[in-house]
Amino acid sequence: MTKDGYEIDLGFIITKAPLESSLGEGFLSLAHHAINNGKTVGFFLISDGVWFVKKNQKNTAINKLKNLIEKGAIITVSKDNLDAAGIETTDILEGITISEKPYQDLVALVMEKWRRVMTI
Amino acid sequence: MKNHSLLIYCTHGTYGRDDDTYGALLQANHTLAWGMDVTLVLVEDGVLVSKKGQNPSKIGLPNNLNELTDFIELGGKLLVVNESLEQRGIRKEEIIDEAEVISFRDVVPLVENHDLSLTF
Amino acid sequence: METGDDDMNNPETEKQPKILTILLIKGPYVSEAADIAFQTALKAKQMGYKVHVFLYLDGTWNSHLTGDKNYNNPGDWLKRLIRKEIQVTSCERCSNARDLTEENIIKGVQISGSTKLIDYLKDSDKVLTFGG
Repeated sequence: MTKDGYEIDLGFIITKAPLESSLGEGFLSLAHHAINNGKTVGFFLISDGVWFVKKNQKNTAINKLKNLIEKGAIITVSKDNLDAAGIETTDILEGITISEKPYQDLVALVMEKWRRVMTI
Repeated sequence: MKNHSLLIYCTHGTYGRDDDTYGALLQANHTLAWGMDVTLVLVEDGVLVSKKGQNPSKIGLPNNLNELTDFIELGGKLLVVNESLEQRGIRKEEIIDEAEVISFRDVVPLVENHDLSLTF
Repeated sequence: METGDDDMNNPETEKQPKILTILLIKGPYVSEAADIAFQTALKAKQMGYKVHVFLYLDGTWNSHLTGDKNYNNPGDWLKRLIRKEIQVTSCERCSNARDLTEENIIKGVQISGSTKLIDYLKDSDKVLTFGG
């Protein structure tokens, strides 16, 4: 819990695919720095951002994401967008929270759980 | 007034993406002029807007350095991420003198310590 | 937060809803930014938050989608926002640059200077940028 009552210090919303631009991976790097400084982080992946959680990728972004999960980052992904992309829930990384009501969960995270939020 | 400080995370800085670049700078200056503290963090291609010697007159666009100069004169804080400079082969001497170079990890406390952030 | 008896009937201590401002900087169809922005706004309103939407840069183009279409149309979402009484403001400078006027944009979208966005920034609990 943060000092002003939030569950998570820093939340990130990613709407871009991992190799579409470097900005999403940049957020993963920021999250690493935050965790290394004792902060808690969360991610909400929607639109093309859901591609971050697909298994078997060979890129630096997936390694950063796996590392973040191990360090306790809470990663939530929109089921609607997984379905749109044809990504089965059995084909995503372990430790991901799947949101069946993405906009409800997104708003709840932003307004009530995350102290600060960044979007890309 | 609930919020007093704004962080603008500017990821575009080229004339090929001038709508985003100029739009970010304009908003930074307006917000500053209307009484909020504004920190402009140039990251990824955003660092390119701080390059000295820009002359876009032959491509019919206004010089973004003019907006940066206004930003500094209005009291804004201009920060440029070193890792993004290095990736793009830009040395510190090639960017405007008023820019302060920071490490990417320094962005985390900046986000925490500003009331709000916008991403361009 | 505990309040004393003196505050019980004071309307100023009535809990005000939290405020979400959404800044949209991309036009329709080029990405899902507009759809996400508008659906987030609608859901937040439904959940009891106060919501402002500010259309900036190419985001102003969304206000131009006045016609009906038989496919996904951000203009429809924008019209829903208006019906739900969510305040939607379109940047004046950006609208002028794109020849968008009150005559050719969705009714209910207000064209205003960026000082409106600054007012939103000053008072919002959270701000989201979509389309960056």
